[in-house]
Amino acid sequence: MTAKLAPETAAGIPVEFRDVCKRYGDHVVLDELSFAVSPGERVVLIGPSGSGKTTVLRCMMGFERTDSGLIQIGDAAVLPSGRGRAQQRRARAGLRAARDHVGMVFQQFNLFPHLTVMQNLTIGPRHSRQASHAEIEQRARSLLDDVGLASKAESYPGQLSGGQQQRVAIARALAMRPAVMLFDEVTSALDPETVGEVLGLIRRIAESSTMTMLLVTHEMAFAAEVADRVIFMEQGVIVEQGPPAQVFNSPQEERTRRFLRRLDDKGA
Amino acid sequence: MHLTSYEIHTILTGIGKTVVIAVLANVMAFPIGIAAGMARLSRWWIVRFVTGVYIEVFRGTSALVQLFYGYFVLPQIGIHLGSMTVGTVVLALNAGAYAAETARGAIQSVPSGQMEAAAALNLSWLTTRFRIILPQAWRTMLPSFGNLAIDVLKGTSFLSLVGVPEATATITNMSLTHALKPDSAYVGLLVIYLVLSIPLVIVVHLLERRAHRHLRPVAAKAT
Amino acid sequence: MSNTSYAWSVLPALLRGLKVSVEATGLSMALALIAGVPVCLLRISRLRALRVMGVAIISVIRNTPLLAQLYVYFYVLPEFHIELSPLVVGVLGLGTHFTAYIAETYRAGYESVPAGQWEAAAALNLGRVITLGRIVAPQALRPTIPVLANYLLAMFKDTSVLTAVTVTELFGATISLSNESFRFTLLYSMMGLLYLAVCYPAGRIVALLERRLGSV
Repeated sequence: MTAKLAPETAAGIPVEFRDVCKRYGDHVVLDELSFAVSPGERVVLIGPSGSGKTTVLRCMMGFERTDSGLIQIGDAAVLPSGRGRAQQRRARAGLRAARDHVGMVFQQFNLFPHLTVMQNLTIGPRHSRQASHAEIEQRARSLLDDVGLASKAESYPGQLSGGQQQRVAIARALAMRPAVMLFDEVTSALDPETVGEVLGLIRRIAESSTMTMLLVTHEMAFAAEVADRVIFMEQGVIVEQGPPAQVFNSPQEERTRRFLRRLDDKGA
Repeated sequence: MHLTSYEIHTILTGIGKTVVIAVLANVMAFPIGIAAGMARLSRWWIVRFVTGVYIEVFRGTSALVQLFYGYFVLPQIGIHLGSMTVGTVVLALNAGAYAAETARGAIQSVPSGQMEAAAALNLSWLTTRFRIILPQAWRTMLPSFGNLAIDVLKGTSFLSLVGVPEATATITNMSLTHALKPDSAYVGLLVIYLVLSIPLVIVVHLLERRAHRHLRPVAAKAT
Repeated sequence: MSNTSYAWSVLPALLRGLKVSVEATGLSMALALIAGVPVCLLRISRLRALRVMGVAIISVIRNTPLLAQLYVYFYVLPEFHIELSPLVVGVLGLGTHFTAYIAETYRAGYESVPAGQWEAAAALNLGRVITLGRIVAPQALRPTIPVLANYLLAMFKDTSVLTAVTVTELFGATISLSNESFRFTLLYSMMGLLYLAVCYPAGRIVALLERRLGSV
């Protein structure tokens, strides 16, 4: 399936992290993290578990509140948790605006099990009143068709395989016309046989849209294909970043080399 | 057993009263319980506290005690309601307190990923609670609610002690006036409640089947 | 007499009633814990007839009001020339009522032990009785404790129903006092506080047990 994806995805917007800090008690998860992503850029975050890469995505969506620093997503600002009513109201408004721009696909799919596939796809757009019911439904069907699951429109998530569920989850996120897409280890919970079909879908999305994409993944070969830039994180800081050829083939930092070596040993 | 038609009519009226009270109390109890369960998870401390007091008070004393409280104490502070009304409301509040704890547990058992997915889709607070979380929590709540419904039915018997002519009161009277012998009367009373509980069990069973319909397996196939 | 002095004067009577409530609870719980075992065994028996009997007993008890069951013991037994004191009738009724719930709790605990335990025991040729007693029961018991504690609490609250068969526990004492003095609000509030004084801390203990030991 090499057909182009429904072309009405939004144009990418820039994302910037400025001195973002996050800690759990004594444990520092993000340490004055700063980086910028250009509109439409594809960035892959890699690193050992606990490096903070998933936290980066979760902070963008407000699932974790930052302690300090600013996350700028286009014109929306995700502010740290603060005191004071006015600040909290601003923070909430900023979060809502950010979520309007950003779509997320989760490792555990998180489809709504009591709704059909079609209902999963349409519930988001319906409640943000993006378009008429008819338009929303039509877009949902065409997205479903693009991901190859048109026949499953009235099925329930429980009746689908893991790979199928994740493809529905991706379609559900796309249905919101995001300008930024986040992929949080979306193949880690899948059987090896179905990993390929999901990665293939993500590749097609990358090719046929101009959204900004941030991916956290352990699939290094895939990262090398799709990424414009690879960021290696460890203990809440960026150790090294650059084009995939550089980071994977000629890493500058010893820590990067050590991480890649460990992966090689495990036959990843 | 030689019962006059008048006596049979009285018994049936008593049973009817039992049914009416049980249905009304149940219908009130479950929305109360769900609302209170959600209130226990509110982000405002005062809401959590007040609901917590309600739940602890109504779970910490028996329904009979609450009933007498409502029946004797309310008039002293100027609230005059019929004994049947007081009884129904007390039963509803009592069941609601237990339902609240069930609802709270069920809501918390819905995987947190569901809230995150709803947030990622920018669904409103209301939509998230009522279209995503509650429908899934409902499945977990049902068995306990089913038991609670039967407890409410059994609780209607207490109303006999405050003068409401429901089934227990009626049968007890029949026995005291020797219209019925004690063993037929009281064993018959047990039979009455058993029979009344059957429709409840059926309704709960049907509701459970409906709530699980999206989990029923389809003929297995590969990707 | 002022409300405060009245309150102090009746407190001993109320506390005596509370003592009866506690006694009734203890005796009924003992009965239910013991009687729950044979009923549970019926329920999990391999013989269908016994299972049906177990289900029937449990269903009848759980689906009919405690009050009606008490009346059966109180009014029907004398017809068969069995004369028992109100307290015994109360304990009998309360105990058999909770036997049904506790039997189901035992069963849930029993079913919570994974099949693998039975298989391992069978592989070691331990025999069904030993397996049940030394392997399964100890594991089944742990998560049932919070549930049993919960029932103990519920039983204590239900002792108020014993008033209907003329047992003078806390509730009954309150009623007769208020019928004399008409100080409903004061007396009922005192009674309510006494119940809460027992039930609230007990409830917290049950919650603690649930957290520590899990639940079936």
